[in-house]
Amino acid sequence: MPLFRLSHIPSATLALALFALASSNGHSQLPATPHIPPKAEPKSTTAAIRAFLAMHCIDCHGADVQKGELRLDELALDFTKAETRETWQAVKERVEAGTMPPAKKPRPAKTEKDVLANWVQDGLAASERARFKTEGRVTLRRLNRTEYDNTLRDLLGVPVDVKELLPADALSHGFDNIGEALSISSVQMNRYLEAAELALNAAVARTAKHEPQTKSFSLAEGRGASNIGKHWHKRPEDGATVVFTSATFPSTQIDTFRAWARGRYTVKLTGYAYQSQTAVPFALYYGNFARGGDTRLQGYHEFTPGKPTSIAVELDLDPGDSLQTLPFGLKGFNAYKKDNPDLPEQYTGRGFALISAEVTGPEFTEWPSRGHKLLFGDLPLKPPGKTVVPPKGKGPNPKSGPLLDIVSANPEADAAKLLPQFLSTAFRRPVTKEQAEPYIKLFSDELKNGANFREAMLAAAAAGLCSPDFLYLREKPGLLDDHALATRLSYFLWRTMPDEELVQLANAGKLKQPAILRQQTERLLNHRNARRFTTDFTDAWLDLRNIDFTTPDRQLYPEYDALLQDSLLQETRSFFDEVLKQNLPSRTFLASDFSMLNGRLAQHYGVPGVEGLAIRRVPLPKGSVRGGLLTQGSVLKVSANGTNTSPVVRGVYVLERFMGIIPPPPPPGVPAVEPDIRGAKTLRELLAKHRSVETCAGCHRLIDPPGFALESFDVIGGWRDNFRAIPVQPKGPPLKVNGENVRYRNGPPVDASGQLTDGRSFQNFDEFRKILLADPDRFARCLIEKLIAFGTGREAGPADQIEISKIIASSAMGGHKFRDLIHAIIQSETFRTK
Amino acid sequence: MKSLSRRAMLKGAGVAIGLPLLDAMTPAFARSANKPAAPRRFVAMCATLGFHTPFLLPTQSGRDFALTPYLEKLKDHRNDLTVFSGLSHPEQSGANGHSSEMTWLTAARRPGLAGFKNSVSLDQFIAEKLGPQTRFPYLALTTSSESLSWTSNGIAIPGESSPARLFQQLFVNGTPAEVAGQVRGLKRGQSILDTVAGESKKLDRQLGAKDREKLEEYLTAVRGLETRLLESEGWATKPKPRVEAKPPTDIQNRNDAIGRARLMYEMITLALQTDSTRTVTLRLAGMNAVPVIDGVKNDWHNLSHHGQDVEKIEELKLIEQAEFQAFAEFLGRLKGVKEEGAALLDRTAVLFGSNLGNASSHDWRNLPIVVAGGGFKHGQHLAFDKQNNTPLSNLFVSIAQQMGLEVDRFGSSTSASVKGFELKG
Repeated sequence: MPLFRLSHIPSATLALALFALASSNGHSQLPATPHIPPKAEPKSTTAAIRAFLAMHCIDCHGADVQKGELRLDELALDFTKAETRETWQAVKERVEAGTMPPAKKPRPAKTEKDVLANWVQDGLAASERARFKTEGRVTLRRLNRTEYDNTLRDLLGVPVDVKELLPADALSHGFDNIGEALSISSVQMNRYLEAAELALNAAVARTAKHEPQTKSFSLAEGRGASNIGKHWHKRPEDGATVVFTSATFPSTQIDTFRAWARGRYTVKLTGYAYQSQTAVPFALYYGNFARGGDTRLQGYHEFTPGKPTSIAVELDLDPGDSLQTLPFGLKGFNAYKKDNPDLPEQYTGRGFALISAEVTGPEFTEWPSRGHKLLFGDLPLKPPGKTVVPPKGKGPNPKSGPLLDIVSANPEADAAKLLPQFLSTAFRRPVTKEQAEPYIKLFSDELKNGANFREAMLAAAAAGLCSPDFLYLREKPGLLDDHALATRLSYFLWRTMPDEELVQLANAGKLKQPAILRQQTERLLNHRNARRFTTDFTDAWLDLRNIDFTTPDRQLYPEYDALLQDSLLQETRSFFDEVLKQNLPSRTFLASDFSMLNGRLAQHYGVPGVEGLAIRRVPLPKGSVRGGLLTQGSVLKVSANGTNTSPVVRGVYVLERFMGIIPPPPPPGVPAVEPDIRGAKTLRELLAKHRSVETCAGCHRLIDPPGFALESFDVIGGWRDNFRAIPVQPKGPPLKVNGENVRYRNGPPVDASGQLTDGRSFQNFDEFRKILLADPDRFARCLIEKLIAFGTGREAGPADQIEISKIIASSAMGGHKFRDLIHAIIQSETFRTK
Repeated sequence: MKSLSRRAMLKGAGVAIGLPLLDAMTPAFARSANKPAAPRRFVAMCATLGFHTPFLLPTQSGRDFALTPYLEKLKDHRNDLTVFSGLSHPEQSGANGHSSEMTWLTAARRPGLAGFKNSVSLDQFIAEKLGPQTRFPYLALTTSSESLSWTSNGIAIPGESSPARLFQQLFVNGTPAEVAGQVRGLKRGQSILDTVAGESKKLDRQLGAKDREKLEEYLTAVRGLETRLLESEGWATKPKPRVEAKPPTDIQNRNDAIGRARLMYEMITLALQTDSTRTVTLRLAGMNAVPVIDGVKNDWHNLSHHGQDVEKIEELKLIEQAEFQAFAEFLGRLKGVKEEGAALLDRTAVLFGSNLGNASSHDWRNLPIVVAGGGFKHGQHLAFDKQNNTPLSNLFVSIAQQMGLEVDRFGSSTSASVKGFELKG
């Protein structure tokens, strides 16, 4: 009895097509109080379900007609088969969302819909709970590549970057840490082996400790010297080098600085804004500046007019890495510009004056590294009998002399003592000598095969790092033991292995105590590692990881620049941090009377009185449309494509991420709507034709309205009354942005009105936002579900709804305060159970 | 454009190919004492930002089509290639407009949506069936970082983006000490894997069905790697083929997409003619930057979303013509290399195209597809229904069959052949 008869598609794909529906949680209309399933199904309920189907569904999905190849009259009223469960889930979602029955048919009463929804919900939940009892809720979960990278660094205490070695992880609704979706292949296994050996070798001390040194550098040295008097001005008063343009040539790399060893450095930049009333921003890059080398943006900073100021940052550098300070937004003197004076010192415009870059490092928090100590304890480091020349390009600088090696008088005994200790830390639970036996045997075999003590130990350690105990978060069905709980908590909030304090509490069996769990949650949230939670969670929830996916069109959005993009990300992350830190109500994510802005963002949003680059909490002026995530440029950019915005794409974005509704994917065979920026028609108008088709209308009534509400925001999050268009034959005088002519003109006006499936309508974004705010429980549920998915490695399903409803009910009083929600989730049975 | 092709020729001259042709070389290390069948190869290239198909696809079908601006670049090879239209994989609406990149060679449905799991890519499918006949069972190459290749359990294979590193692996023999070190490393790797395989077997037998599945997948990965390391150990001590080409220098400028692709094409030719591998994929990645091509001033990804702006389309044309020019040069090289009297191209099925039929609207239907070589009857435009596309997988089955594989289905194929596309008699 195949319910969906997709004749033109092999049946194997049916499950996949349905999965997208089934994995949505769709309890959007659940009552606030948990619905407790009755022990035995009263006849009246089944009768009611049958009646509902007969009244509203069978006409189109019965014996005679099967629209969408769906037949419901033969659907079993139970939840034992996966296929049946998926169909019921889909039925429930369509009915709840109001897309079925179709608009022209009589609407079922709310009470009728509730009976159906609750019955499906209870049935699905009961069937899930039965499976959880034997299997546990979360599927054995591999470390994703971010977690793996963090873990390797923290375990070994070395700043190695192995993330890029590993293939990207599969996503499930934007989350890259869902156990079921994370697979493994032999290609990937090979990368784990390589990464483990690379990191272990980097962790072993082979030289004497590099004492930190402090050296001072300037732009006027090395290759930079030739630019003085030509492009740049060196001020005799204070030795500052002044750069007047943001052009990348000549390079503003601090040419004479090269990191002298791997490690952490503090860089102190001293300078000021020259001949300027306002601060001069600059970007700090680091890395290998050889052509094609890998350089990274550390961030944006600024020098102020007047007395020199200093900015200090910490950087993890590889040997040979250098620095670059690139002024931002300067279009002044360089020797190639014709209308300038002959010499840079005669130029009277703004400049970036750098006096010095003072570098101190490498600074070690531990020497030798944590990994070295775990593996080799206090065994002495000695020069080997004969001089070993380090291999080219690897390891420490050859100038530092012959490599040292670890000496063991009693290799077998040392290995038997040290390996269990290393493995206990790596496996995040105590490992006995007996359990370590295979690794000790590997050590002995390697020794017999001619490896020296260090090499044999590293082979055994590499095996540990390739074993399932390291690569997977191992949990047993039922309540988590202390170590598994410590691990889950740590990966949730720090995205890495548990630290010493968590391990000790787990060893003592205390972490399970609610008060201690709460206190540890606070400790983790207050630590700087919690930034990883902010970044990774907002990457998944809001798709911020794709901020770089498109570059806004230069003709349409000439005001967009790299500083704005950097600021947009910072805004959303700081905003998230602020809500978390101040324990603000969850609805703050939907609407707020403040935002986290710097001067660049304030300019973008039209908020007066904010200067400088530092992000700070700014009260929004009365009447500002800004406030809440949906008005933030980062969110508006990732939901657009750089050229235009689509109400469908944005509609899906808002439904999935803010309303907890996963709309069904488009049916096969729907033609794509092609955007046209020449200005004749808006995408909304082009879509209207599409929506008028009956088979499309159902879902688009659900999907499009939230997207319509966001029509007032362009692809970079700017406000618009009209779409920007590049007409074939422009009329009238050109528009200007920042004083320069632009190619675009004002196109058709924006229509941001819409009507939701429940009949509520809105004229503009603000009215739509008020509709969202009117149902704080719905948003709280959506947010809790995202946190549960991220925190446990499994998306919230029907069986989790009772716990979620409890959290919603208990936090309703304060408006579902965000930090309280995190505590409640961590204390919940869902979190504490496999 | 002119200066670009001149520079390209100079670069090409640096990697002069003065190889002893394979007539004289039996395929390296063939296991059978009998003369093995002539090796067949497969190469696939996907341009991830699509092509503006009005400049590519002829309006007429059949053999008498008029050359379009892009086919103009391929005119020397007109009788060695077939242009397809009206092909696509079904159900490619995915997590975003570019998700079908992941499935161009796999045909898995709904890429990137929840519950999505990719399947094996055509090259890996072929490589697995062929077994370890060559030093490299496959090459997964790219001009960025991701490749087109996916393992049999649907995991991405990271791509090799450095021609210099590739050349090193293919042709540069290590010193005896280096080879010994490499062998030691491979043996150590096997011991490590042996240890963890034993460990995973001991893991809790009480695991639920899904956990057990995950653990079995892990064990399969470990065993697969063990086999691979063992094979590599066998190859490590055998001398690599000698080529007269000079080791290439990687092009450091990331925006020189065409130059980078061209260098990869040269490496692919070398790899095939030395029988170092039988399957190669090359992901021709588009980018969010301005490519180094005369006359191009705008970000490439942005140009692909031209929204019908004529100026943008003209700029896009410059980029795409350069891509076709590089492809044409590649086909020329494959034709120039002779193996047992036959052109290497005749034994190499070359699949070239994109996962987007219209990049401006992210449409994944009506894909631009060109197949060259491989012993097929060529010289035509095979046009299929634009409304009801023919599965691209049908073509994949034909390609797999020309590789000597006894298969009659792949991905979402509905037929083991594409109407009108046949092997030469």
